[in-house]
Amino acid sequence: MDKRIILFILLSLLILLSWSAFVTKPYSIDNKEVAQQTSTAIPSPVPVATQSIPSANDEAETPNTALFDFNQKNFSVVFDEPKAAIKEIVFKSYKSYKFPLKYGLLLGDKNLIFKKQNVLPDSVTFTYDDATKKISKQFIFSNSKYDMVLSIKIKNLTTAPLNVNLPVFLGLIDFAKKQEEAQFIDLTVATAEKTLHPNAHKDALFSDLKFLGLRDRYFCAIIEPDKINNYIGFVKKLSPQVSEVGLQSQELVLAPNQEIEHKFSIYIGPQELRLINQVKPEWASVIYYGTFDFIAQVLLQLLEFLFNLAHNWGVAIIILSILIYLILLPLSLKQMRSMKQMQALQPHVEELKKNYKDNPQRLNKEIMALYSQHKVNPLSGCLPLLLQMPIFFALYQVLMRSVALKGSSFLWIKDLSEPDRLFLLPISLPVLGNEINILPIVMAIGMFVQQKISTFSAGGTSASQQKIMLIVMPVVFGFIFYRMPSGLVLYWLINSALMLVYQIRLNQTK
Amino acid sequence: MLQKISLKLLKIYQGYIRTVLPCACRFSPSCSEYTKQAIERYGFLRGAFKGLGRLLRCHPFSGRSGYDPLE
Repeated sequence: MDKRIILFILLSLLILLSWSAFVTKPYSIDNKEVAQQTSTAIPSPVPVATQSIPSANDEAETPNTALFDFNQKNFSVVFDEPKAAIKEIVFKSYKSYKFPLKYGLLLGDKNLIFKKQNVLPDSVTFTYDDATKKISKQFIFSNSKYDMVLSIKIKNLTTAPLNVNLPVFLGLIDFAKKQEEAQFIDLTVATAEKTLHPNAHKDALFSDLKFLGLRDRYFCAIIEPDKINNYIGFVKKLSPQVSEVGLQSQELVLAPNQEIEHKFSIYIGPQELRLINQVKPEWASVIYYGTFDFIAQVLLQLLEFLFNLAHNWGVAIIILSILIYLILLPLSLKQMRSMKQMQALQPHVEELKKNYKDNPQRLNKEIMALYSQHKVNPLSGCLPLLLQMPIFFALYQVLMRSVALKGSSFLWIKDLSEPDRLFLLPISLPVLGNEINILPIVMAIGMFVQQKISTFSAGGTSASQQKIMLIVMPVVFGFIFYRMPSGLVLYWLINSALMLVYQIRLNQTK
Repeated sequence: MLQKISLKLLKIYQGYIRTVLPCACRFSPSCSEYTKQAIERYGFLRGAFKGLGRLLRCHPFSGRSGYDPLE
């Protein structure tokens, strides 16, 4: 192969790796710093004290009678009437998945009790009025897509100037509810300068806000205020497990009889690039895959492209696995060529063996010298193996969060986002439970075989240790993979099967 | 502190994980041993950096192999 192509592949891989390692890391800035920066950035006359943000969730739960469903084509919204907020959204096209916001888009004052005013096919209006002001809140839906507009109108009914300072909540983060899902909860804060994924367990304020995003495993809610209103994003910790996220405007003074309108663009839907791009491509930064985000984004695009070709996620994953194997193949091929060259050197080695019969240490050194002189080596090195890791971690994130995989079947696998569950046992086994997943078991066996043929036997105590590890490692990996999405196990299985075939061929070359 | 933790981790790697990996280093001493020595001698940051440099050399296209001790 052309040397420049190889160099190009290696360099681009290096860039991929260092990009995610050096560029994305600084985004996870400690919230405290951000808060400090923010407070200096805000012009001084504007009072922004965290205490001034009233909590939305001090009250007891609203009785079910005050809830009502508002149906759209793809989802139905469960509104909480007195709060004029969204309790949760049920996605009909995704197995009725419930995305809880628990008072999402609440106007932050618990004393306000709204009344449902007007329910049209594409909008819902709530109103509130007292002696001093009149507030109306209108949710306007687009029906076919997952975006909506929230319009808040406030009118001063008095003859004196009226101060209003009402935060808008995006939602409540509850880490306690579903333990296994809590790890997927994530915040996105985009300011004029950068996009952050702050820790939701700490209080923080963000000035120059562009938009706010909140997501669970599959779905997300994004809110963007109109630019002119200059909102500040906030995260407020209510308890160790619960935090609130929302927007805080500067304090407004309404002249007598003045009415103001604040508009917010909102997306509440699946974390699918295609759907978010349709509404606003900028918002796609909500879909963030951690340290190896860059690789993950590339993999996601590739996977979607393959799905469009194959129309089956299982097939797409298999092709992806083969593709990644092919990308790393130059490294393997080089090693194979190195093996062949070594065979050519074999007569020299035999000669050395004769010369240094009684000095094995000297012999080894001479052989090593011979190899490096001819620039060959039987071993591929540590880097090729290490290259697999970032790809695997990135793919893990993509598959775990991919809503498209949910409910997609492949062969006997009913759902690629869950373990394959070939059959269920009548009794429940310890640790493994009552389901039999065949993919992780096959993978563990394959791993055992691969180790058996590829490890170099060592002498003495490490030999017995090696034998134990030969069994322990596949078992440990089997357990780790047992509960993982079958799509991911499928990827790993295909990849290690290809490696195994390569290894066997390599041994034959020897 | 970081130095001690990283040395411990490298020891665990050498004791348990390396024995079963198909990975076999082109150099002597191996990448992990090299990194260990580097961290011992230069402290965590510089040592880890030296180890990383060694790792980046440890692939079939580097054209180098064999005896490559820490200078």
